[in-house]
Amino acid sequence: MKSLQTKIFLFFVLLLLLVQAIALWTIVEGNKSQERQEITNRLSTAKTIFNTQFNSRRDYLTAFAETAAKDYGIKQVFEDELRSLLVAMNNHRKRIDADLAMAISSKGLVTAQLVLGKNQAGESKVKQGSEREQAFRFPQWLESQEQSHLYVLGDSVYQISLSPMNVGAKTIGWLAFGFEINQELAQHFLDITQLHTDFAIKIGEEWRLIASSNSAAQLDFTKQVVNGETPNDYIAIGHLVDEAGQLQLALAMYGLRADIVAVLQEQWWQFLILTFITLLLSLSAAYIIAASITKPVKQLVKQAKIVASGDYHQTVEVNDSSELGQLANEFNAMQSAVLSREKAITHRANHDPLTDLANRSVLKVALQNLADREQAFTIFHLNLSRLKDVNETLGHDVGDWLIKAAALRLSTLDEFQLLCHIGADEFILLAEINEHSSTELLVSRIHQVLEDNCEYQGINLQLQVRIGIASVPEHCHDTKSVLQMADTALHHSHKVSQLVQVYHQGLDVNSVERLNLINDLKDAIIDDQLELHFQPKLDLASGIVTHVEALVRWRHPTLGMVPPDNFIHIAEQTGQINALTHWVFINSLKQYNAWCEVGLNISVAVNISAENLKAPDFYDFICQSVEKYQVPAEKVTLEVTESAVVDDPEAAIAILQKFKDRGMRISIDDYGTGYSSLAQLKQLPVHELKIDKSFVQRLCDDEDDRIIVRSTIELAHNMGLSVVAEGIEDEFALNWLARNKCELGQGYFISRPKPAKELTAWLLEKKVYAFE
Amino acid sequence: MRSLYLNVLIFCCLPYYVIAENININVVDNDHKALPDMVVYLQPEDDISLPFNEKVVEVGQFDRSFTPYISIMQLGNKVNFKNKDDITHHIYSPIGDNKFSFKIRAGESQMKSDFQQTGEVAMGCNIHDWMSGYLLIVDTPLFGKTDEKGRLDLPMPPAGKYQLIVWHPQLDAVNNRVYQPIDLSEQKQVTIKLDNKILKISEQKSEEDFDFLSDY
Repeated sequence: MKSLQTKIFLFFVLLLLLVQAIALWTIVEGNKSQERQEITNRLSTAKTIFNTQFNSRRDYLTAFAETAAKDYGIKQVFEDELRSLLVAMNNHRKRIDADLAMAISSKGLVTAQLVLGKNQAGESKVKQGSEREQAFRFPQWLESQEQSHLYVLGDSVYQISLSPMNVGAKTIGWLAFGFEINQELAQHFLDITQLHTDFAIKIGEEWRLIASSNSAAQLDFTKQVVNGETPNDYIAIGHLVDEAGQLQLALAMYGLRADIVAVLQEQWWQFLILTFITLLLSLSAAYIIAASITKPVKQLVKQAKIVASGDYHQTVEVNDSSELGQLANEFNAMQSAVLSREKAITHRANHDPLTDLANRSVLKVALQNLADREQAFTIFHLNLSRLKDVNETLGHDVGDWLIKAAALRLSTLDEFQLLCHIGADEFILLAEINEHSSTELLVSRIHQVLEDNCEYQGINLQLQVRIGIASVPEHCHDTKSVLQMADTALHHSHKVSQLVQVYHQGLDVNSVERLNLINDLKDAIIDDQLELHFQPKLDLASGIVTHVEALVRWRHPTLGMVPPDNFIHIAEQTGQINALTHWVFINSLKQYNAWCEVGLNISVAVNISAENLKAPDFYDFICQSVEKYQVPAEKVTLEVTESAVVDDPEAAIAILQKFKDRGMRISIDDYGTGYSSLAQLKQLPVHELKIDKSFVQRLCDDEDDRIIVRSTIELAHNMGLSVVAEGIEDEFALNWLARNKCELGQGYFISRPKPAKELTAWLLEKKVYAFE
Repeated sequence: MRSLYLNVLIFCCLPYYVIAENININVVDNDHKALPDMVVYLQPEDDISLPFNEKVVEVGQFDRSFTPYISIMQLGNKVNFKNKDDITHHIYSPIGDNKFSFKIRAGESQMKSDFQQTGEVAMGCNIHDWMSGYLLIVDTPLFGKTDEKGRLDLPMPPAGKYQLIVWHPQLDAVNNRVYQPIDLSEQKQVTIKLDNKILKISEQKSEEDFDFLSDY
């Protein structure tokens, strides 16, 4: 990933390169065009110079020829002797340093001709020309208005001007003066234009090089230039001066391109070096700018990382008043906002929103700390009693208020190391165990602070708690279990209606393996893990056993014998009670038949659950089973608990009536523990009441129980019902019941529930009880 | 009757005019337009001797020009160069057989009687370049210049064959001359039609304005 600095730097670099490239390109193009322009200018200037100079020579010659032709002296000797004329002409020639002077008579004869030449020593020497007394070769020039011409004489070419010599209107002859087109002229042009100059003449198709400033001049090259075919390494311009019909003077001006552009090339190097330096400086500046922009950003990033790691005490410092400085300030503000929010969230995560007391997570941490320190401690699991009633009658606001009131009071206790509010009406107090504290003392302290009633808008509310207590290491060693144990103890206190319950192992039965049992129960019926035990019911009139109650037992493959209290409840809740009851019923019928075969006539009682009564096919199943095993209906007793009828009295009464009509005996189990009214009892289609063992067990010691049992027996008898007493654990109870006309008795004192085989043997002994 | 008399008189007079010993010469161009100022002279062919006509020909310089432009003289005549201007002239002729050169001060004149050869004398002024004049020297007394109507009357010379010569410095012909032989015994009236052109006669005028000359 590219850093911001790199990006900015790259951006600048690209921008600068682009700008430089454009500048370079512009200058390159500018220079090229300047170069072209310069070359063009130079060439056209050279040509202009040539034309100007050439024409000015012409005009000079013309003016001079005209002047000379008007000279009286020359007129006077024009027809005189030749020598005088030659001298006069030479005098004129010398004034302008002309290379040629000619006199032409009115008849068109060359009467005198002077040519400036060089002798062998290189000195200038005037000689007579070769054309004297010959006819002038171009008579048409004499009549022409055009006075200037190119004149070839021998190897030389002259630029001449003719002027007529008049006497009044009479033309008596012509004078001509000429400059040679020679190396000197070429050199002159070279000096002015810095361009080599070639002169050539073209007569017809024949070319001849006549003069050049360049000692190595080539006619072919001159021709190329004139024809516009200049080689690329030269710059050149050509020109043709036309002498009507006669000849053409070719001019070539040229130079080596390299020489011309050398100066420009030098400028190039300077420019390139300058560009390079500028670029270097720009890039350095770009780097510094990029770094200076990103420096505070980097600072921000670095410090943000520290903050992100959870260190909120670091503040971001950027010494910059720009946006980045503002960003740093915002960052700090955000950081403190995050910090306070995190504190709030942490607080909420660790505290109950209602009471603002520590919650279960704090508790866990605290427990872990204690465990790490191997500190002994006690857990007090508190549950506010009757809060449900308060909520329902006074509303949840009052309920909450009450919880807060309790929390407030509990928080005044300083004997505890921790107070947690772990749910609606549940609190946990944690106390480390030391030699000064005792569980009893702490419990009394709790009760003490909650003792006074609370008054809410004139209503007096009592704060009563139940307390489950468990300790480490007394009860267990791990912190998770100790909470569970305290909870179990609390639950147990509910069951037994006690305010305080200290955990002991006996409390655990229902809860520990409960989950496993749910799953295993399914298999138990199929795998024949269940077995039936039977507890005899003694006829208290005759002293012999006439009935048995079938009780199911579960021999768990790993847990061993599981008490029915543990798994019947599970069966009811998990929908397996029907299958269980079916199994019990059918096996009871089988056992009845088995006893019949050995000569025992024993009625069988089977416990029926409230769930069984709700099952639509239950009645049919019972009837079909009875028929199938050919058991007389009156030998079957269905024991139904009081609570099973209370849930849905009408339906229960209807089905029980059907059973009664069918001839089966109906018994109300655990009578006295439920809340059934006498009005209901009156309606129930039952044959007997089975007084709960809690009334029977203490008949010996408790006068009240004796009154209750006696009254119940009398009540039942008066309603035409027989009575069964269960829980007979001593002889007193047995005799007392017999004396009070209770029909049947059942209990450990008579016999514990026994497997069929064992009981059969016991029954066959035909032990007869005698009552006092 | 009176008119008849007049007619007879006119009839009688005409032959008399002819009989008055004059030859009438007419010079016209191609379009029969009269050519004025043409020099015409008669050169006898046969051995006819004509009397020498003594006279002085005046070649004037006036208003910085030769007046007249063309002068004619019989060889042997005197020529009076007369400066009628208020400025000096330097009259010269540098070519031909009759070269001369002299200055004539303002208002003065110079008599010259030593022309030895016939032919044209082209004259200029060395001071005033534009001045141009011609003096034609002939060897016959029979010469003259045509008038405005291109006519020239010459006294009738003895009968015989003559060469009639028309000359003008700008006549586009060899030697600026056109020759026509005539027999004066037969012809009394001669019309000469010239096929040649008359070239442009340059004006004797300075191209510049010489106002300052009046100051010196």
